[in-house]
Amino acid sequence: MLHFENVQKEYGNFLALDIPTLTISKGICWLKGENGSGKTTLLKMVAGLHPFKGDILLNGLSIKKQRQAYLSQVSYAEAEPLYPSFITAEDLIKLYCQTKKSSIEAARDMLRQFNIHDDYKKPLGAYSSGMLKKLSLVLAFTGSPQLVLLDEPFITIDAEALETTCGIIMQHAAKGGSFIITSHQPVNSGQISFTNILVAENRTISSLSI
Amino acid sequence: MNITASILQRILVNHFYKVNAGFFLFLFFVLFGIPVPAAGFHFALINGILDSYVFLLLVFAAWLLYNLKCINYIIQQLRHERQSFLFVVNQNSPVKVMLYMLFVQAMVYLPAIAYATAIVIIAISRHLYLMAILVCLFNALICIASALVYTVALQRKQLPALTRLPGIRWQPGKPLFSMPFFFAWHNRAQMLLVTKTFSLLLLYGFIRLYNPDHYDIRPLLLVCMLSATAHSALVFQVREFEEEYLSFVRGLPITLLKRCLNLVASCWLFILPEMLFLWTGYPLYFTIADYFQLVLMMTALLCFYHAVLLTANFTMDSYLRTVFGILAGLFFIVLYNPGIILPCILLAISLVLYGSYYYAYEKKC
Repeated sequence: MLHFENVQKEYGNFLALDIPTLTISKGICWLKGENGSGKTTLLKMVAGLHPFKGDILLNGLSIKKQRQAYLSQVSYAEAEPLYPSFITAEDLIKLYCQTKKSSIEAARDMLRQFNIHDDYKKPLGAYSSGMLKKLSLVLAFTGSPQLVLLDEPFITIDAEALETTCGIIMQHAAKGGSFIITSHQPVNSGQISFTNILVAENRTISSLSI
Repeated sequence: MNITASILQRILVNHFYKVNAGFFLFLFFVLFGIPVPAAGFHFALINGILDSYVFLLLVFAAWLLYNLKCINYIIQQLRHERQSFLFVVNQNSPVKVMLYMLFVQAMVYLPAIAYATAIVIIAISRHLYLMAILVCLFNALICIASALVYTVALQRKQLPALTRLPGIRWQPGKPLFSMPFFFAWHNRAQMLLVTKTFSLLLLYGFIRLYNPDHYDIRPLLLVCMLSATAHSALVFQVREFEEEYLSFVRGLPITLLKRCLNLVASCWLFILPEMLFLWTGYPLYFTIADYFQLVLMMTALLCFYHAVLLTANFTMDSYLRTVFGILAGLFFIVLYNPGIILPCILLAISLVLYGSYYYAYEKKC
């Protein structure tokens, strides 16, 4: 599903990640690693937010050569999402649905599941960090992407939202969606069944079988 | 300097000048770079202020506007969660807290104090003691009142409505291209106001004062270029905003062509008032065909200033020097009257730069 070819990420002269070759198969993947081991960097590279050397292919689509088609299959939710304070959830949902060609109503349904639909038309400056996190999760699921990248999805949110998030992840996985999830929190195996484990250490990523 | 004053200086004052470096550089250029000789110009200006109460009132209004900018900034900082540790300053006696805040106000208000001092010195040398007292009194009142406001803000109490700039409750839908404009509208209101005032005054002054003896588009084209360049500090802020708050847009499946069109539309939105105001100069200053050249030039320049920011990691200082270099280079090209070809080439270069560097850009910390 996801293939890395001679991927290198440098910050100035510092080599942060070096992945000569790696293939990640479909499923729900847990990306583990200590702070600063390159987990977020990896997710941002896969999401097209960080430039890097080499290439990443998703179902044969290259991020370098077929960027738009590639990006339409990938979604990313940041650990601590930042959005302009003057825009509303409505503005963001419309932008995502327009670019990902998906239904606004489906996104609004997810907002209802996360109990933030009442604030749909409020500026995001009035949102708490937990509400912003929930909104970023809704945006990540918008457009039924093939691969969803979730950076620490279980922090900041309340217990009910955690249940909802796990439920949506499992539903999406049942429909064929794949995930790469980073989490420092131990995840209950009853809530999410991981199919792969990736470990970020020594400036590279390796795969462990479960 | 004791440790509290030193921390306040570093957190509030130094940051104020750093954030507003573009504004001050621009102001310095307008006040001391354009008038030749600068000393003679300011001596005449100060004498003018001292000879007319109306002129003096205008200067008071300008100081007041600048002080509102200071107040808004300091309050924003004092209430920022990163600066919440400053609450500890309240452990000092109220008089001492007030003195610290007076120190902060004096430091951020320093440019106005410096000019006021020059006015007072000239007023005393001309025996205009009432004028000198008025200037001193006005600035002392402004400083004390502002320090009081900061003291209240530091104590995290509710501030009187007068200290807040009026906001407009306008919530239209915000498509992607409009977000930079709304950022300026909501988060850089004073900068937008100063930029628009200067830019429109420039056009107004030219159209009212310059009487052409024959048709030539170049003088108006140069004024339009200056007017667009007045937005450069704003463009820098917009780029920073895009990098911090709109980084997620890079991961959306939007074609490069659409991104380029978004950039052009976003620049148009910024220069819309100038585009409309230009019509007051029709038909004396330009023909319909040349109007498109003027608008295209302003758009292309703004796009170019934006695209340049993707090519390297600029600071406000290095960026503004680059902008002035670009403007100087274009000035000489315009003298040869290249017509609409220049804005077309400039826009094409901007979009090529934008397309080439958009995905490769990464902010270095």
